[in-house]
Amino acid sequence: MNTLRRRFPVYSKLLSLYPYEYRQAYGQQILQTTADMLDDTSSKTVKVLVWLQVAADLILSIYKQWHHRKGKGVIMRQKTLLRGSLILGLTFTVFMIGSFIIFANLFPSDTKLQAMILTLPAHTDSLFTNYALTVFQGLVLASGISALALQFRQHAVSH
Amino acid sequence: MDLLPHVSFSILMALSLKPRHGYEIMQQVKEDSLGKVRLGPGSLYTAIKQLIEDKFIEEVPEKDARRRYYCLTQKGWGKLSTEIEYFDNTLKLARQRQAYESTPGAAA
Repeated sequence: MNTLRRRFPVYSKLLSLYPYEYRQAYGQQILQTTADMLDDTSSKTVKVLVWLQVAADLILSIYKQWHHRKGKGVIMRQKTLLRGSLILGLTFTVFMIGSFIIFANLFPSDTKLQAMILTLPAHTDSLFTNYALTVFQGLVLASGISALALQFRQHAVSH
Repeated sequence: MDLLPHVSFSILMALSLKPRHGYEIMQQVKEDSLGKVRLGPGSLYTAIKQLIEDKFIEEVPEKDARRRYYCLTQKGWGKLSTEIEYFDNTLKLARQRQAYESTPGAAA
C-alpha cells in the first residue's frame, strides 16, 4: 500500500467518492498536495484548519465532478455500486438494531414499549429470530438498492 | 470571448512565472490574491483537469517523482494575454468612470 494511503487511510477511502477516471488521474496528486499542506506547518491548530478546509473542499469538488460527468455514459463501476448498496443496507440494519437497543434501555419500565421493541421486527418470542430477521431485512434492502442502482446504470449506458 | 472562471485564471497567472506542482500553485494563487483565494486540493485539480482538456496547460516531466508539474502551453499564453488585455481595458474604463463621478456637476 503506498505511503500516502497509509498516512491518510480514511481520506484515501473518501477519495473513492470521486468518479473513477478523475480518481485514477488525480487521486495520488490530491493526497500528495494535502500532505504538502500539512507538512508546511508545525502548528496543530493550523493542521486542524487545513483538514477542515480539505473536508469542505472535498464535498464541493465531489459534487462538481459528478455534475460535470452527468450524461457522459457509465456512471459508476458495477463493483462500486454493489459495494455501496451493501454498505447502505447494512448501515440501515445496524441503525435499526441500535435504535431498538437504545429505546429498550431508555424506557425499561414501559412494558408495552419493551414488548413492542423486543418482538419488532418479526413479532416472535425469540430475540435471536427477531434480530436475525432484521439482518435479513437489511440484506433484502441492500439487494433492492443494488437492483435499482444496476438498472439505473444500465439505462445510463444504453442512452 | 468566454472569460475563464476566476480560479482557472489564477492558475494560469501562477504558471506564468515558471512550471509548478499542485501545492506551489495553491501558494502562488494565495499570494497573488493577497490571501483572498485559498484553493483546496479537490478544487485545484478540478480546475487543472479542465485546463488540460482545453489545452491551456500541460504536464511537464520533472525530477520529483511524487509531484506532477504543470506549465502553460502556447494556447495558454495566448488565452492569458487575452484575459489580461480584457481586465486592463476594464480597469481603464473603471478609472475613467470613477474620475467622472468625482467631477463637480457630474450627473447624480
